[in-house]
Amino acid sequence: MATEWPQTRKTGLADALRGAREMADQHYGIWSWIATVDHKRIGIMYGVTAFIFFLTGGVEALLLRTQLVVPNAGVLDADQYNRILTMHGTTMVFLVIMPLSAAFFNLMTPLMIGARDVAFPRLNAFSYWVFLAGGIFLNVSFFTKNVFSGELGAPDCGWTCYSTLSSKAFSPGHGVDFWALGVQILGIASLASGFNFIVTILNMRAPGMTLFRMPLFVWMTLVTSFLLIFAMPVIAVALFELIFDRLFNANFFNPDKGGNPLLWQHMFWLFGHPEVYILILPAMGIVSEILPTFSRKPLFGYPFVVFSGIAIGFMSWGVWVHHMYTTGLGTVANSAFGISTILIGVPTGVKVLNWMATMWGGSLNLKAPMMFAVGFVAMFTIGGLSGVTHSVVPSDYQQQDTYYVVAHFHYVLFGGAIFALFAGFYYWLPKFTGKLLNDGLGQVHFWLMLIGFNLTFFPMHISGLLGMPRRISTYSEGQGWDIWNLLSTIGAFTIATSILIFIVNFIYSLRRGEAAGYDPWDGRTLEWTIPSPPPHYNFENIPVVHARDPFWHEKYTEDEQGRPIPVVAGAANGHEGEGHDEHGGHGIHMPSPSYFPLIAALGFPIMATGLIYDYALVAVGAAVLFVGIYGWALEPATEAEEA
Amino acid sequence: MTVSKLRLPRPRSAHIVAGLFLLLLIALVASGCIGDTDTPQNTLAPEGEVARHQRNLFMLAMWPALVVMVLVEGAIVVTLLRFRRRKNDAIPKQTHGNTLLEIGWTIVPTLIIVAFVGVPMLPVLFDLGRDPKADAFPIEVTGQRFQWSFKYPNIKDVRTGEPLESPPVVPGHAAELHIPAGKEIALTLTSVDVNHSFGVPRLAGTQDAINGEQHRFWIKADHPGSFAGQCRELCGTGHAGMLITVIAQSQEDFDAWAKEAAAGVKTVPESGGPVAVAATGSGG
Repeated sequence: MATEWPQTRKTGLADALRGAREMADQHYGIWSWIATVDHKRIGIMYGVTAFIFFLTGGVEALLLRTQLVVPNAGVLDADQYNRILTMHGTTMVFLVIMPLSAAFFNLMTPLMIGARDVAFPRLNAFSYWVFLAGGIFLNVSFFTKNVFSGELGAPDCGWTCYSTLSSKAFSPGHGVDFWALGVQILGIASLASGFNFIVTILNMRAPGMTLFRMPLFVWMTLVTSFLLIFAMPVIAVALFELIFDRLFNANFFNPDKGGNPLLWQHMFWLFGHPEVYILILPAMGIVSEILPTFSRKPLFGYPFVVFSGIAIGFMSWGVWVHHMYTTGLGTVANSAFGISTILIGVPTGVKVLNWMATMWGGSLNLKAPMMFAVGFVAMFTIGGLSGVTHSVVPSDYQQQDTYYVVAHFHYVLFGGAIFALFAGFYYWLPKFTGKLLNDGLGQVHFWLMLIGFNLTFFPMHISGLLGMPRRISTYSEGQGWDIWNLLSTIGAFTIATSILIFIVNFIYSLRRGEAAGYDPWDGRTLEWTIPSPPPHYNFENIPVVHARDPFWHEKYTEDEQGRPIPVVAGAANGHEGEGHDEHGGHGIHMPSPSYFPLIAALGFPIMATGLIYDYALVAVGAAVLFVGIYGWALEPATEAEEA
Repeated sequence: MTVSKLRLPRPRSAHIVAGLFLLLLIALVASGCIGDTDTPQNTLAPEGEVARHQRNLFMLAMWPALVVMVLVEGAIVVTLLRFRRRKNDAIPKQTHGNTLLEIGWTIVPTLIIVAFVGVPMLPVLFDLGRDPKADAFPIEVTGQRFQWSFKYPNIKDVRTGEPLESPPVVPGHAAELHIPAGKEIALTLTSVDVNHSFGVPRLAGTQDAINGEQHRFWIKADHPGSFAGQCRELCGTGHAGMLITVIAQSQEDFDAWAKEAAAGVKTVPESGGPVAVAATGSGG
């Protein structure tokens, strides 16, 4: 291979660029990653980046828990605590769970619908680079003060960044500017992928893959994408107003000039509640794939699970005031939103029952992916039930802003989303690495994480009911909170240990892992019909789909009594093995790599930095963005045929 | 499948069920303890009418939730044990669903939850959310970084001729709010800077103090006593130290306190509140 490296030395910039692009085209070297438009590579980059942010957010969590281990601890001062608290929340929501879900959208959606890539591959690359830029930009805020003397420059307004605490008067420094502009940049990435996946799913399904034959994960990707394109503009407007308030002395949220701080809360939560489902629906999709595969049964009540997902998508727009019960909106508003909050519990409950019915009567293969998926159902249920107690408005006045709420949303987002995402790792990573993750280490990881998770967050229900407010940097003795906080901190370190085991497992399995083969789990969907790792064009021949769970139906048929039996070797009418030997992908035109998405994405952090420090940089950033988009528009989508 | 194979999971399932009952028992004892403990900010140990309503509603939702939790978790464990894959397992029947069953488990929980949680909640919601009665004792509460201040419109400060205001809080101490016990108190809550939230769990759940808003609600203490609370909304570096002590007194004691306070006599702060928290940090 090395001998085929293009000659790029001694030539001009244009030749160098062309050489780099040719290298990218041939899939080796760092440039092949930087210029890639391949959904699998972009998915891997999303996953790796988000996992690094997961470790960052995790270390932040450990710092917070260390400060709270005993009353009046002196690990962090209140200022450091508030800043780390803000970054923990912002990181976990915007830089971990959302992009990890996006990683799975990227990796799996085209494979599951039988497509060779997403609809707009370069837009996809653009999404990733904008996400990376936004994530780095947010974290750079730490260094806007003298970190080495213990002063952190990060935002200090909590991940909800309520007005008027977020105003220049009460949050001086640039932390909140970085926060608002960083989240704004991340929103651009989310919007781009939202549109991309809607178009991909609606237009690029393989022949025969009707909407109601789509895997559940693809359905949830579709619903999530719609939520993204409607929810992100809401927060974008709110963020623009905040940025205008801070940079140009506008008065959207300034009560002294007729503005209204509550306006921020309304907009934030009108985005924020759909956002909750943006975080959890992909997790539900992952679990809805794993449970059937490892139970050897189809998903119980597929239409109900699909429609409850859609129902959740719609209803998520009608519950935002349950974050604001105590702001004094009045009894009519509170009762209406209390009832809608009760009702949104129903489709969620339906899903839990369907998952359990899927397992009932199955032949459960309790490998690591299944354990994490079952862990999701078990833990998410607890989060859902404590959520129902929140819908009781008057009683929620007591739990509002206490650790009871912290317990609730961690049961949903960690016990729910993170467990499901790990289930997805164990299930699908072998498809892309070609190596199975070690199951023994996976089981240790699972049990340790399950125990650590419950040890961390279950006691928070109790400290919350004992009146411990959230977001306090310290507390006094004699409140009855000590023992519960000690347990939570021990639990947090237990979780951290389990994550280390996962990292060890990942590295070990990458080197020594068992080969995955095409279909390590007896899968039901199209991604298991192709090699691991898949060729860059995915499917040599686009599959034709005849049923839901298409791959299962190729492998199994029914005997005269209607019992499922394996298809006799050689009798398969379908695609297994079909075409993998014929032409090795020659003649399949894939989109060419491109640098322009990266260049365009670079424009945003430059412009944002300019807004904070020097407007001249805004022009530079805009120019970069313009060059990126201009080049993107003019470059041919695929390389011309070799002359 | 042989009989012995079929029986294999049974003793295990029995253990699991026993374990679950143990879990339920622990939960019962634990929640009993929560209600009984004498911690200052216990939300489940009400000493005021509002907090009692809130505790009762919470119990109404929490117990069914706990029961459902035990049932679901138990069912998951039993399913895992009962149906875990064994050697020579046949491929299970490919059940795709059961429409009637699913319609059932959509509608029945909806009805149950609306009937048992939604309906009982509404009257309480409207009662707690009503305007304070005309004869309620009015007090204005103001949050500011990082202390609470109280103004008593019905008590005239003889020194100034203006309504009595609470003195500035000694740093690290709780702000003291004096109220007559057994009487409805009309609070008007606001903030002069960022959002705060006024939470005194034994008397009532928290309510937000928002700059530019006048937030009216009522509380009532059952009997004389002192009740701890603190700010519930992140307001900056002093958030954790923004403490409250509500001192409820019999009408005579309250009148006596009011007379002395209005005359400018220094009263010794009662030491009922939480110990001071050293939570002020550097920076803004």
